Amino acid sequence: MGKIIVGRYLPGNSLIHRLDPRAKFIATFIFVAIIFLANNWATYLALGLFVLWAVYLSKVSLTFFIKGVRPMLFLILFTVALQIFFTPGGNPFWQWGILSLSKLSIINGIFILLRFTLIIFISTLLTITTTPLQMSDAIEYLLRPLRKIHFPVDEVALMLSIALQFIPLLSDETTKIMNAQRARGVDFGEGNIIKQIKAIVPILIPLFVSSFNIAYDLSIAMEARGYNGSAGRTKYRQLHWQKPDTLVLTSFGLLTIILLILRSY
Amino acid sequence: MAIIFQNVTHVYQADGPLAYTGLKDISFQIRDGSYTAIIGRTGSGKSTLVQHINALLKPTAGKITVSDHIITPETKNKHLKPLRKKVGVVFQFPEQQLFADTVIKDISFGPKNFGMAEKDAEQLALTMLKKVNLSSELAQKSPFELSGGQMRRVAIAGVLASQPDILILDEPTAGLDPKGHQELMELFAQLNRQGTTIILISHQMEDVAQYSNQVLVMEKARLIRDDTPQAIFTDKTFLQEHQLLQPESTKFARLLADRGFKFARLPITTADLVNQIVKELGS
Amino acid sequence: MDVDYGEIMKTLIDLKNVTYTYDEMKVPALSDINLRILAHTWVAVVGVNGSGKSTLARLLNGLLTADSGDIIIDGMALTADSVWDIRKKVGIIFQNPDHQFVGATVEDDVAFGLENLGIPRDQMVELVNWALEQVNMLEFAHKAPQTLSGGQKQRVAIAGVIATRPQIIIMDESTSMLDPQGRQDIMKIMQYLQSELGITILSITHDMTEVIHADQVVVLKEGQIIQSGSVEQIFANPKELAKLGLNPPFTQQVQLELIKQGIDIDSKYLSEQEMVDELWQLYSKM
Repeated sequence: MGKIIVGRYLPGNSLIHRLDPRAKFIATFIFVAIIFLANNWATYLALGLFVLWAVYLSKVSLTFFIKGVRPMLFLILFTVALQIFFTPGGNPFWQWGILSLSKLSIINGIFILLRFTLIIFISTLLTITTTPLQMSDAIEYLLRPLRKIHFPVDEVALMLSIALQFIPLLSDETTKIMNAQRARGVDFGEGNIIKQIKAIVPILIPLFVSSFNIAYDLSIAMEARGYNGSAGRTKYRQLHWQKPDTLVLTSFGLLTIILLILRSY
Repeated sequence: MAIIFQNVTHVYQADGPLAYTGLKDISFQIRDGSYTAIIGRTGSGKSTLVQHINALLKPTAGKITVSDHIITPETKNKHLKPLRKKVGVVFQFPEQQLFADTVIKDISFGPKNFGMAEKDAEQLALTMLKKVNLSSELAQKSPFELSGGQMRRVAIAGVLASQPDILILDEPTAGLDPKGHQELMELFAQLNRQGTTIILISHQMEDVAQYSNQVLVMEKARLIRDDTPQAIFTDKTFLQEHQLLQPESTKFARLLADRGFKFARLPITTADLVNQIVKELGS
Repeated sequence: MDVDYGEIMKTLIDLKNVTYTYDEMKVPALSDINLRILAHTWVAVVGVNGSGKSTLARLLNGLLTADSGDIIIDGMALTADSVWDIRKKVGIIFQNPDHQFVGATVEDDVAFGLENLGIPRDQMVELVNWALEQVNMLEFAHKAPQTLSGGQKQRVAIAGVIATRPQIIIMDESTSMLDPQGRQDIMKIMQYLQSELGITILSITHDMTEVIHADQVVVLKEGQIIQSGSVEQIFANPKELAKLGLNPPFTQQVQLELIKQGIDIDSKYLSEQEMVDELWQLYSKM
């Protein structure tokens, strides 16, 4: 009965949702690269406004993005603290051993905080508006050049898409098996560590057997339907690169130019 | 009273965006030693309902009483063992729960969890193996070497081994051949005669008609009827309205009745149908 | 989609002395099987679990290779070279709806077999839509499998098979995991495929209500065909079937009980309607 959503996809029909997943993938990569061009308030302001605009276009509530930051919060604050206290130079107005605090280090700390937050926002935007299937389609397409070195791109893509699809089924199986063993008197999450590890065995073995059975049945079904490797196969799923996709990449080009101009001020 | 449901509601993932109702305001009673069938379409809430009887699921509202245990939304996950020992569950395709390296270890797993000594549990396991019509030669084999039908029996033996007072069966014979089906249904009937309360989820109306004395009909998370099999299966309008099948014998009796045959009451089992035909023809 | 009635009596499947033994098994799963199946017919294969029914299904489209004997499908001998061509002619619907769904959505799953055949995309789109229409699942084209019921998943599996236009569909207990409603839906669709598209159906089943509608019934026991014939022929001797662990059809169960109770009625197979007539005659004579 579990309804797992991989990568926290939120269904929607916004402009961002409808973009070609390849465009979203490439744009996310570009963003992560050009964020390192930012070096002053103006550049961060430009990036920030750009991201907020993208979030607005996705019609997804800002709280989802803020939630995305929360699990990373400790790591971010730790890095920021390092940056603040260990950046030498400037005119420190507080110093204790190698620890120092200056206007420069505080500003640097804030920049790092912004950088982290913006990267999390933009990658959350990708996963929230793109189905796992579209992701795997985009990855397959972007990996295509690797065919030249005989990397089995099509097989990997098929595996990825099947694996994604069987996650909900396996999650249901896990619940079922856990319930069956609970009914036979197993307590999960009770007793000492050894007891708890012991309690996992009656789950893991049936789950392994069950996954193996599914894989076996599926491979038979695939063979019966004429699957004989990727040679000579055509593709039903197609990605459609449209005007908005080109526009998105163009806007990232513009953003890069703006950053280049602003950073020299 | 063995089992009492009072205004039980269950909402899955109650605080998430994907919340949906599995049970809606369910109330009924099941007496000790009865044989109750639960029928309804796939997804109507049958499995959700029975999982409340041993607190695998807890109600989001309402109260369940199982002899001296009370289950409410506040019930903690601790100290449920006495209840779970009392309530055995044979899930759909129970062979999926097998895990031990020998058949006997798998069957004695339940009793050992409920505190029985290893030796006693294995002794009991051997008895259970016989009960489900398997040879004791299988005891030391790996359950994964057995045929599908044998694995099913081992899994059922593993549930019976805890000697539950209440036995819940969720389509226990799905996928078995007619012979295997017949043997297991007879085993459950025998346990019922010996005092075990049976709750059977089934799509096979012949079984429901033949074995049960109370039928709960589920539809879209609600209990829409709680009645005797005789009353439900002879209520043609009700069956049609809720897309439920009638037993073959009832369907056949209706054909005969349309022709002019007189039935004292519409039969719902083959035995009853035959008896009534014989009475009419023989007199 | 016109049925060529000129071909109607053609032998479509021909098995000659086919034997198959699984690795590490002493006894063959199927031994010396001889079987002829005519085009456009519905054949029910019955037998207890382990009698060799599924092995037969898997031999017919080359998922297993016979140790000896010949398998001829539509005039073509099944060999290592012809196996991919034979698979175009023979589709299989398996038992577990969850274990045969390859695509991430309904339409992707239906397209899977077409992709394997290298069909151009425009043609694929047409065939996918056509196949989904045949099984009344067109409106679900974009749905993910976990949002479908078991019966709906099996309908998608059928669409995936018919999209590649096979002549034969094997149902390997395909309705055994479905609820009665799902079962009825699948049976209706299969009957439609047989009558409207002329597809030959070989159905492995325990469900006697299905068996009594078959054109030919094949009874397997311990890897051998012990009976093959029409419903009337097979059920002429119900006591033998009971010994095999197979339930006679409902009407026959009633007949046998009535005979036991001293009612003068024949034990030969009667359909529900024939049985009503027979009983009514007895009743009116009194």
